[in-house]
Amino acid sequence: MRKTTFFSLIYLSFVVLISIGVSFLQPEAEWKTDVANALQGPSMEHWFGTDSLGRDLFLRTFYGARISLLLGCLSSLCALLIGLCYGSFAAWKGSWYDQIMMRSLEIFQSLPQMITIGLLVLFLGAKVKSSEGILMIFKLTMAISFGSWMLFAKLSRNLTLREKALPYVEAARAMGASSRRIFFRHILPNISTSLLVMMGMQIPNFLLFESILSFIGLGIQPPQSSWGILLQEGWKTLSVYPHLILFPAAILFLTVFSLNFVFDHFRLQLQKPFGSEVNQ
Amino acid sequence: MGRYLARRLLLSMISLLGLAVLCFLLLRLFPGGPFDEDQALPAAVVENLKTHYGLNLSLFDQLARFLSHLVKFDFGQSILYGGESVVSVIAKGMPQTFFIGSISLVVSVSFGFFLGLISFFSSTSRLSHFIQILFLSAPTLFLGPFLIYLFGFHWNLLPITLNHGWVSYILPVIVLSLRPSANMARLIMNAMTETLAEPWVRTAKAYGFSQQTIILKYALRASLIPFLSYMGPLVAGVLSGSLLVEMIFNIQGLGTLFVESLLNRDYSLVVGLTLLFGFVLITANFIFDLIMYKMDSRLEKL
Repeated sequence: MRKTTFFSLIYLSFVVLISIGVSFLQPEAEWKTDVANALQGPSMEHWFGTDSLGRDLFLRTFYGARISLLLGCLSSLCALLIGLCYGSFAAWKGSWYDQIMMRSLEIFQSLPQMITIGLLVLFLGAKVKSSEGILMIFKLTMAISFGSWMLFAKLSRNLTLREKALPYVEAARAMGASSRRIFFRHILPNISTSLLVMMGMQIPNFLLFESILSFIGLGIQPPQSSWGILLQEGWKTLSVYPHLILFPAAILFLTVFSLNFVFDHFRLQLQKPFGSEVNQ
Repeated sequence: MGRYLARRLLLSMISLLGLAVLCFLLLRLFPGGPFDEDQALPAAVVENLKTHYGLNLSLFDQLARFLSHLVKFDFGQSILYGGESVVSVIAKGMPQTFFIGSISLVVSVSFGFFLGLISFFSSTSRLSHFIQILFLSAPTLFLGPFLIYLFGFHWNLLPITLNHGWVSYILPVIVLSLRPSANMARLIMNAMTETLAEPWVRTAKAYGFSQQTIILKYALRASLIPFLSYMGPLVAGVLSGSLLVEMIFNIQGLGTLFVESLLNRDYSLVVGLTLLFGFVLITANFIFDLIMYKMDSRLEKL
């Protein structure tokens, strides 16, 4: 394993651990305001400084990480499932099922992703009271995953088509295995690795979708904290209090960077023939 | 060739029509109307406004009206912009977006190509790999504010709004083209590596062609295919204006318009913009598909 991949993994586990840790150790601090100490720069007491209401930015960043990471992972999982169902069904049925489903996929894809997601958020109802945080997460997950499952559908269709033509499927069929058994017991395990790596490689994009949506005001609503919200709040005071945006933005950047590195490593491993040396 | 062209064209038309209907239905069915926010308005006024914008007709009538107007390039009136026609609102936003978009398109294609070739030829492949992922994962939300703070406020080198001549385009173009160029570099590098592993390269070598001829004359051309298939979405993405870049740099372009219309539920404007974006993407894909088809004779079998 390369050093960068190693450090990326360490960084990621730190982010996850801290964001779980803060909600256990200081569950109330998220809402605690302290106007006397508002807008302070980074110090020993407040590592990232404090925001306009005196809330600790370090804590808020990692409270935000909870929502952002959760959304990123959940929506990529959902997108994977939707895409897998759609794509493998089309490939399994073949002939005109495949034709029609793939042509309609092209229609779904005829919009830039961000635009589709924006429309979907609006469709699901963007304005939610801040007390309904869970509902908002659910809606965003739906919007993001329904806006981006097409990639997974294409991949799973191609993979299923490839596996379907291999002799072991024929052998299984000759032995009397049902379609369902062939698909779930034989094909699915064989294509799952590629799909999971693809899903991992998409997580950074999903994180970014969340932050973009929250930034433009369609996503998580304040006073809830997410990376998008922090960036939106910090953006207003960039010229005077740059730490308000630069710290959360840097954490977001590092997370995306590490995720990309880790999953690029997996992708490269996948390309190698099975059993070859891991070290480069 | 003729059949392929006809099929693609038909498919594109169907996609556009499907998109129009889908978008229309979505927007009519979602909860909340454009006048919900103005609670001060008396019921009669809201009723009149709705009649004026044709919102109280039945869904089917609205769709029929919408489609018949669509043929005449009439997307209706924007509610957000006080009844101005959607076409003129979009026409106002288009020049800015298209200008910045086309500059960053040129920048990202040339820079991406350059970076890809460098990282393919250079011996320090780890460094170039690192740089590629670095560029790929620098989100606009990080890069934009960071560069603005550094160059705009801290060093006071570059303007952060667009009204200072050509220098003011530097930052938005950098932010807009960094990710696409990294993507492109990656595609080119992977494609080159894959192409050179193919058996015909060995054959060409055995025939005595120099490495240079093989790469410049044959391999480069063969590795342009994934690059070209990425060009369609890239052109569309860049031309439809990044929502974020336009918000961050306060550019009055299509992206800003889209966000505003979404937030204010301006049905006609959203539909107009969505159709425009869809049209750009479908057209760009169509054009680059044709180029790809011309370049790679193997595709003729499809």
